[in-house]
Amino acid sequence: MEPLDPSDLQDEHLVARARTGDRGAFEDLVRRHLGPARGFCAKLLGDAGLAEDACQVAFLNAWRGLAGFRGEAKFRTWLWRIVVHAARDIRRPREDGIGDRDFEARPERDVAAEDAVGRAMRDLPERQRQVLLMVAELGLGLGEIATSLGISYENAKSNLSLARKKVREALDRESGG
Amino acid sequence: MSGQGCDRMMERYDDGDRSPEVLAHARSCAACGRLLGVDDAVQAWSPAGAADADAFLARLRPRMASEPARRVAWLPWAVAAAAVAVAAVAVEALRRERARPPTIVTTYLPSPVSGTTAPAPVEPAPVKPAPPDALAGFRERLLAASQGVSREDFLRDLRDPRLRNRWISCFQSEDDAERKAALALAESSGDRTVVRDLARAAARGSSEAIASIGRLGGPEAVVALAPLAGAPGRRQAVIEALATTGRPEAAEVLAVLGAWDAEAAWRRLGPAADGSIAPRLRAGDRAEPGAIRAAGWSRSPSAVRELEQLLRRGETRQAAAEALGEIGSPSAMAALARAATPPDPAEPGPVDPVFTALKRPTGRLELERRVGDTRLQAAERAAAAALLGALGDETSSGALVRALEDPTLRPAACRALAALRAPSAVPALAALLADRRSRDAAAAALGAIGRPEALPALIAASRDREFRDNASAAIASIGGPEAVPYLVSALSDRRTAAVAIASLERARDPRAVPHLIDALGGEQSEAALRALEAITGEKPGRTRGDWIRWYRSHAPGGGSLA
Repeated sequence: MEPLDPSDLQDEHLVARARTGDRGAFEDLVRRHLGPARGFCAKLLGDAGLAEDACQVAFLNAWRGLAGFRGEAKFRTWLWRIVVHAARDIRRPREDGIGDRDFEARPERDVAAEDAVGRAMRDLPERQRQVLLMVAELGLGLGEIATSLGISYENAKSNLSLARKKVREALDRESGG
Repeated sequence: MSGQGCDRMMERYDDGDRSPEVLAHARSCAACGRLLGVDDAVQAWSPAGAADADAFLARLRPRMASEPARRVAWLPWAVAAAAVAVAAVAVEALRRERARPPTIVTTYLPSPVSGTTAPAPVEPAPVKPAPPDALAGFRERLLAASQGVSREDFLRDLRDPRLRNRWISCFQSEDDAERKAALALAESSGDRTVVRDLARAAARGSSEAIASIGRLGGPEAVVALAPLAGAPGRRQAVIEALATTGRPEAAEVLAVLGAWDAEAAWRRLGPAADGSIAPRLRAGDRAEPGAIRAAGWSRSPSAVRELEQLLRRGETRQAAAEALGEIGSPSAMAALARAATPPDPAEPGPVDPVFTALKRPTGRLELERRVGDTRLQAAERAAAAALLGALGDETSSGALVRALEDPTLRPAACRALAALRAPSAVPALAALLADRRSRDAAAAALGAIGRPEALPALIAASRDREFRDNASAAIASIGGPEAVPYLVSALSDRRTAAVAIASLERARDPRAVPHLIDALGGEQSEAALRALEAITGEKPGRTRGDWIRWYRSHAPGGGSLA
């Protein structure tokens, strides 16, 4: 098992309580991890509304699946895997109605105002975008990422390297460097 | 660092290691910084605003209610076992936590181990969707809100992503009024989620944004400010902003940055810097000289013990003494008092810096306390009395006079009172002339004080043949025109006449002449004649009659003898 840090200890406490059906404990877990999860989804999907929906799906799935969480990995690692899958699947039609709200009410993405990072990220293949975001946004290590995405460590490392290189080049082009 | 070193650091970073060592390398290494700059840019990139957690949970709750979590029968046992395991890990983590200085992360992360808690969630106001034309008139509303007009309404509207993004973009606006209003609103909003946006503006060169981050405060501000300090020309602004936060983590960052010369920042942080300074003074031979000064500027209470140790080392004695003096607390002064050496008037040389550091009211008060503290050894109390004397502040005479009541302290207290030349001590010292063990020291003190009120007691004490020399010396030291009446009155006593005549001779006061003429022909006739010749510069004869005639012809108004 990976070593626990103090923040993980708090997760473990909350998970143990949530597994007994304590919704308050699960809501505390949501509050603790919503920020990075939403940041990750928003940057991966490029749309705040879709990101919100993906997070709804992810946390609902986490609530449903808590009984199956064996504590073999950190809760965060387990949760990020769910978040990544939710973000990947959010554009598909769903039975539970999440994502069916009024899309017209969402602000349109202003492509003109999108900055260099946004453009560079949009141009990355999805896997590279996922890996880069998991390192930069979620602060995960390659081992955790490989576990979350179901790929090898070397694969994750190579995707990260390529993603950084491409974004760097895009930023340099943008700044005229 | 070599290429291999860089590779190792990058591997550690990519494996999720965000330790200060790795982050410091990333900040200082151009090659790694170029790569990790991508991560920073991605992290700083904010594609859209976000609703708050409560709104999110409000949507999630009905769905959770329709699908309760699947419970497991063995869960209560598993929970108990997990609690035991977690407690064991927590105890171990706590032990490790206590064994090392706090870091930014351990200090502010909510954790059952570090005992800290996350900032209390702000109770959300009901979200009201902004109207489609909400961006119209944004600038005017922003300027008004920064002045307090409809501020709460405006802040509530900023929950709308369009308005929020517009607000955040104003942090870098070319329009001075708009930019200043946006920053002022950020500072007063207490909304620390904008720290990252302010940091982005700061990273692009805005010193105003740096100051705003500091004023917004909180641990988030410290975390945002730390990496900005490396940028050329911004170090000072970042240091000031860190100090403005008043956070203990800010002190840790200042220490890591080596900003030991930032006197104003350390003074501003004050005791918040305590946890970052004291551990850096425990390094023995390698105690950080800057940390010693910073301990003084911040008046770090827990640094006192370490500074006292550093007083014992020649190379750190002066800096540690100055720091303790700056701290000025009773415990700091006690540390100085224990280590100080008073200057020796007989051997002028460099003054002990520890003694110099005691020269402040709190130092004097601590020494007075030590003089009166009967739990201390007599030698310690005597040393404190000597230091009081050397400090030269007459207001200490009360404590020293009280010390005269203790026979073991009398010599030291007498010497200190002599050094202070305190007239208020004369009665107590004069009373000691009756104590055979203390009278020499008391007489010396009375002589040094030089007040004529001491003369009757000294003259009376001089009747004792064994004490006469010391009493005479004291009487001679007093001298002066005010002493003459006392000395004249001593002429009528055969046991004190000789001392009085000798003193009158030294005083060279013409008022003594008729009284000395009266003494001619008595037991001390020779001494009186010498004194008369010395005072008048005349030699009219050796008999009383010769001097009476001389006196009548020379004294103003014809002169008359008693």
